[in-house]
Amino acid sequence: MSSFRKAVPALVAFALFALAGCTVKLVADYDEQIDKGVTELQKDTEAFLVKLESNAGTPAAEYKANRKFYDDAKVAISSLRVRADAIQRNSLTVRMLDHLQNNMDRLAHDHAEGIGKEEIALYRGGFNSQFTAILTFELAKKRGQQPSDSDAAAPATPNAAKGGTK
Amino acid sequence: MSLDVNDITQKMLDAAKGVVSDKWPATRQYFESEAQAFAQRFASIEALRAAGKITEERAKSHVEFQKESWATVLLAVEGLTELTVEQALNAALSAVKDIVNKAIGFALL
Repeated sequence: MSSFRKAVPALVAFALFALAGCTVKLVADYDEQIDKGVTELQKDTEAFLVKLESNAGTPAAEYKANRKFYDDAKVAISSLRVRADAIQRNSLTVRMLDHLQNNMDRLAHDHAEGIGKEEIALYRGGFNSQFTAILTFELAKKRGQQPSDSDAAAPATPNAAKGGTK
Repeated sequence: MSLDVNDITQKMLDAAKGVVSDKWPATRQYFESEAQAFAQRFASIEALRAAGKITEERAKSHVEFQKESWATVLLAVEGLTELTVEQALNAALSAVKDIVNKAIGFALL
């Protein structure tokens, strides 16, 4: 440990020269189009889940009547992924969008088999966590705008704390 | 003018610590809040299965869905942590920029 302490000043001196003239940047800059695209997709997904809940048990809630939503969502996520992938140091956002597409595929699969009204809260909660994660990180890329203590502690949806449906 | 490396080291550490202590609590709270929400969702899956409202296969599908979602949250936490490291590093360099540049005689940092 003491030898490490002795080495710290030398390491600092080395780091200073290695980083001369540099501002360190480990992740990509904020991208407004990803912010807006993900926000729009969140609204569309929420509207879709509300529609499924209110039409539960009717033909309007069946998978075959709702294929367009899944097609549109796939196009939207693919477009966002292509854009995110074109930006340097943005691999985390790309991977987050991949997980989002995986869950959209899973919802489509479950929907084709039939889903109960009481299951929708689970899908909503999972999706909201994903949208919140992607947007929280995107907004933090503005630098100096990581979530405040109060924002971080607050549930993304009002019933999150009670029903686990965040 | 010679550089006091120990003094520079302390200034850099103080600047970096300031950023970490400012940013990390919010990231930790975000992580803890999400962890609680996921725990509640897993309990909801178990309750739906116990009530016979979903099949065992569907319960497994819900668990997989939540795992994908949780992975997304962990990637966000990783990203927020990287941003904190980035800002701490830049704060440390900024804290000693004037001292180093003055000692060296040109704008090195």
